[in-house]
Amino acid sequence: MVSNSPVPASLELPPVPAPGSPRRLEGRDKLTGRAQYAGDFTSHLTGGVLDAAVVVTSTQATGRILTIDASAANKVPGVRLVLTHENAPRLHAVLATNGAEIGDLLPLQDDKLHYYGQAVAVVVADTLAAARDAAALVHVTYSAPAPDAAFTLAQGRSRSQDVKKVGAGDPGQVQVGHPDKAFAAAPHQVDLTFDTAPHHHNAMEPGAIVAAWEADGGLTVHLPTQFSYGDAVILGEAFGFGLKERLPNIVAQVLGGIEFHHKVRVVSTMTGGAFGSKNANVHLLLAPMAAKLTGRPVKLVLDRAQTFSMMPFRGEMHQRIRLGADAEGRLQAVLHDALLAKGTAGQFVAPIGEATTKVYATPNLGLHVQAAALDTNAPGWMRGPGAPNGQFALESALDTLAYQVGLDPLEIRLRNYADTEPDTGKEWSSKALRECYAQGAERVGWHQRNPQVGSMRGENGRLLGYGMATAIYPTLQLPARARIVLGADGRAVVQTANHEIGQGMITTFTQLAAETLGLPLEQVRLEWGDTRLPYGGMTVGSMTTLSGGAAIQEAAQQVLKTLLKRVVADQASPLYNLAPATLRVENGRIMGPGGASETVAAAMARQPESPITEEATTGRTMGHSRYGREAFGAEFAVVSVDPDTLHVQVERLVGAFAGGRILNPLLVRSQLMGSMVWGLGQALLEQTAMDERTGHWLNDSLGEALVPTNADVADIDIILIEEDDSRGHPLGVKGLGELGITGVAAAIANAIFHATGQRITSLPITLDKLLGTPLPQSAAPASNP
Amino acid sequence: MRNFGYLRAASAAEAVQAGAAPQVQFLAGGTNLVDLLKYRVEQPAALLDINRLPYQHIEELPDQGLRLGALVTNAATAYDARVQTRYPLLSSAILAGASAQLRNAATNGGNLNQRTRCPYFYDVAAACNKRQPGSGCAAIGGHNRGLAILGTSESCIATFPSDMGVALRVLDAEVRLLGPAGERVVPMAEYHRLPGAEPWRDNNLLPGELVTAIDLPPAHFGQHYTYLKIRDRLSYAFALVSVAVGMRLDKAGHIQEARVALGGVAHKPWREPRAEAVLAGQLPTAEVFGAAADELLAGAVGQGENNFKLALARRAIVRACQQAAAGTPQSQSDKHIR
Ligand SMILES: Cc1cc2nc3c(=O)[nH]c(=O)nc-3n(C[C@H](O)[C@H](O)[C@H](O)COP(=O)(O)OP(=O)(O)OC[C@H]3O[C@@H](n4cnc5c(N)ncnc54)[C@H](O)[C@@H]3O)c2cc1C
Ligand code: SF4
Repeated sequence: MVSNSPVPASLELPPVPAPGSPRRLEGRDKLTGRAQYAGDFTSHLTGGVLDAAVVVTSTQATGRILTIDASAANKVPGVRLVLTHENAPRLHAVLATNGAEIGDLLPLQDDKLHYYGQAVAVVVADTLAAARDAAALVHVTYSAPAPDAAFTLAQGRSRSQDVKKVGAGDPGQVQVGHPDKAFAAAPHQVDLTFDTAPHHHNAMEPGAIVAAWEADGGLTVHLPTQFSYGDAVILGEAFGFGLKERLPNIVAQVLGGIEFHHKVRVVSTMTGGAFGSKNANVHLLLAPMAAKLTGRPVKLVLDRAQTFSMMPFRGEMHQRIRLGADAEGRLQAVLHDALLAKGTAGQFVAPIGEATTKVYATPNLGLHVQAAALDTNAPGWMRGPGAPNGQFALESALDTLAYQVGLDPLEIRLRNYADTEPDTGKEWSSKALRECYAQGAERVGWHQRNPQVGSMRGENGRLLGYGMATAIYPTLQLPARARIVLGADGRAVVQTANHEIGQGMITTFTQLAAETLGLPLEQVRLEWGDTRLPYGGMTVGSMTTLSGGAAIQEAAQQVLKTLLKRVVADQASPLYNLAPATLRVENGRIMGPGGASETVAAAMARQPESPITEEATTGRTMGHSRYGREAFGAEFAVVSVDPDTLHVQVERLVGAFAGGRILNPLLVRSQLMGSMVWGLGQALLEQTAMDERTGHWLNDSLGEALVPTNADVADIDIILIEEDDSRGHPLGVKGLGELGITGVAAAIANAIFHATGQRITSLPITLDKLLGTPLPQSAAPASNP
Repeated sequence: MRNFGYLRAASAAEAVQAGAAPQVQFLAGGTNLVDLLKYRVEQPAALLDINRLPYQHIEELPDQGLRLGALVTNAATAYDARVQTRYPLLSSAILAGASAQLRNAATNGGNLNQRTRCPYFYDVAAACNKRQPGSGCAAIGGHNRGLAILGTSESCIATFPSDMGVALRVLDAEVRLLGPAGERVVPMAEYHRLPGAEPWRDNNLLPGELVTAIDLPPAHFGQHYTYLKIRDRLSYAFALVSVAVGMRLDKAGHIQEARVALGGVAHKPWREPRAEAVLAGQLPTAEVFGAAADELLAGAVGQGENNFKLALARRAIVRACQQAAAGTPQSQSDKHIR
């Protein structure tokens, strides 16, 4: 999209809390409701016509659709179409690079049911009210459900199969040394199993899409997404477009720097929370299918309940961790077995061992991942995506080991500090985890606590506890391309089809380009989120700055070089004939030795017909490095537990993070804080309840799917530790969006153990789980009347 | 949402007349009813908007009680100076419920008549005797973590989810009704029903009957009271178990009178005279409170997922009684259970 509002000067706002932290450039638009989300579209943005589409979902998980009676729905005034598998356009197979369900299961192609809440019809009408009304009148009958349907891991255990590749291609099976033997021989052993509940994204913005077919056969869609080019390719494949509309456009840009016109255009101006949920969704196909038949633009917005069954979520996970250690608590063997839920359609299996294989030094390491395909919609990417659960298990087990060996939980982590990458032996590009441990411990008062379990008391007899865990998240990079045009007015336009998902991409990219070009922020404008712009890659995996930022920096450096060459060759410039290497550009002014200078605008104005345009493509090697590249942190929790009601209150969270160079401390802090709040929710609240008889997600509303409120959230302290990671990445940055969540659930569980002596091995830790066993000096156990 | 008629009642007489027709429902704040329409749980032919009827005030009663108009919002009631000083238990219970935004819209009459939060009641594809008589009860043997342990029946195990109602029960409030046949007054104890074989009947309102006010008897329990609400998160969540307590202590510290009601565990706010009898005349100790809790919970049975409520309720009762006896009521602004 092309931002039509100029970059707002910082106006009357109070000063930013940290230098180098411009505020969100789109913040005012969001606050005032001017920011345009797909769901906000009205007909004046689509040429005067915009129909509303409402999805009808199945109320049975397995079996077949016997009949769909749309006659009552069709009679509702204003209804234009009831799209079902009987009249839907036939789609061509698509490749979902993120393993999403549509790679295996295209919507409305046949009568087979795969899960409860599956799209079985789409009603299109002139108004949303008519479409909703009619949707409720679509009458669907089903054959008997399968007697052996499985909706939970307990029900589907017999479907378990080994998984070769997890996540985006990480190995599902790892063996270093002889972990089984080493475990058996270890003087200290811990063997624990962990269960974590499924939970859903619940981004404020639900899935939404506006689709319009053009007269020339082209297709334009507006939708919140994390991968506009990827969605365009999927649409190109599904609707049988020519070769150009498929992968070749991406490949040509990435490999050859060639862009060609694409008949499918995907525009993604604002994405109201993504975190893995908005990429290759089912509704991406539904709206264009409907619009194709009606011949009119269609807007489809999922209702909240539909986001539970038509968008991905964090699936149920069962894990077993075995740790073997020597007498001093040094790990001799780490064995991580996991059984993860997946859908019968969709390939995603969370990279559950991504932390286990990287976090602690051990001579013997085993990872064994299995998945069971359940009759539910497909689990998918969700902030972390494997590490929060993997770390919950591993760090809880390590904590147990610490108490068993008689070591301070912090000390056992230092004793097992990995000086090289555990599974590869590579040197780290940088790793300031020791400082994270030290500063985090200092801030939370770790060494002042009484380490004895169950020994600390807070106000009103509450049990106090301290816990900690290591945070870890891989540092990745994907291909991306950027173009920068420096105009005759001395202003730069930066173009790249990356996405604003709430993380602050607009601000960071603008800031980065301005800094590299030596221009004030106000003279740089970003265009983003549109497949008419250069390929911006996927906005996933905490890689936005690493991927897109690298391309922007390189393009900006080239622009700068061209500019300097131009001025020293320009007789009209006061910098004429100086060596380019002696010039620098700051705040929009080019300065040479001895005080010679002129503004960039003045220099550019002399050749108004030739703006400077440079392009750069980076990340072709997918960030492949001879170094181990991870971001680390240390997370600490202080909890208090009411001895009577078992209510757990997180009193404090402290996170100390080492993430390379920090470009914008304000945004980074807010990313990490959001991540930690999510971790708190995962630890104590978040679970989607499934009716185990029907496969229906029951608490599918914001009122019933509990996420933390302000009252639940603790004081959160964030410490940022800068690292020089220039040998890891040209900008020296690391991925920080997801790092914050990875250790929180474990830190809280460990704090609960310290407070109560109870090792709760399932998430979320609700009070019914704590009611199970006695507490230190607890109130008299309740009798069951 | 299906199309429906919309009528605005100009007078109470008109409201009860029109309201007596089948398929007509009163609309107050709409915070519950409009959701139910969206979910198609309720599909009335017409809504009768009662918001302009003259039940908008809180008034003094001759016996020094207070009359709470049915259309006064939950927020206005909770923050009314008379309620806050004379009936802090009620104020506290209201503020423990829902969210500030909801309380600003929700009315006292609506709060008393809100429907259950049983997940299957909201799911029109599921069997539910309350929503569809005779269809069965999906919650029995299903996801019933939040549902009842007391007074359940084979046809329904739902709870009445109100916080306000639990305090009203302790205060021995009376509900004033106006119907086609005239006015009547029903004590809180008899207002809500147990599910029995007719779980679709939440309460004893007759067709067309309108709640006009809630009368509070002369003030009690300004000092020794608490509303302790146990829930998974500290705000914007329904109670797993809640306890309202009002007590009077004599100078020597003996309990002269104690009233205890439970929320989140039954189809109505749950009170048991035998439990209160256990407390009368006793010194406030954990043992005495535990004994009262056992009486209050007599006959409680878990339904599977909610078995934990038996232990939790006992602990909560003891704790709430301690809070009340000590004169340290649960804060609803800090929310942390301290
Ligand atoms: C997300 C959410 C969370 C909530 N959390 C809580 C909570 O924690 N604790 C809690 O106690 N409540 C909670 N509530 C419920 C809230 O308190 C009720 O929705 C509210 O009190 C209903 O009042 P209303 O005026 O909006 O009623 P309406 O929605 O207008 O009506 C509700 C019902 O009462 C009937 N009715 C209304 N007024 C009268 C009258 N004068 N006479 C006869 N019948 C009448 C209506 O016909 C309807 O059947 C929550 C609600 C929501 C949506
Ligand atoms: S408990 Fe009551 S409300 Fe819930 S499903 Fe059963 S009958 Fe319906």
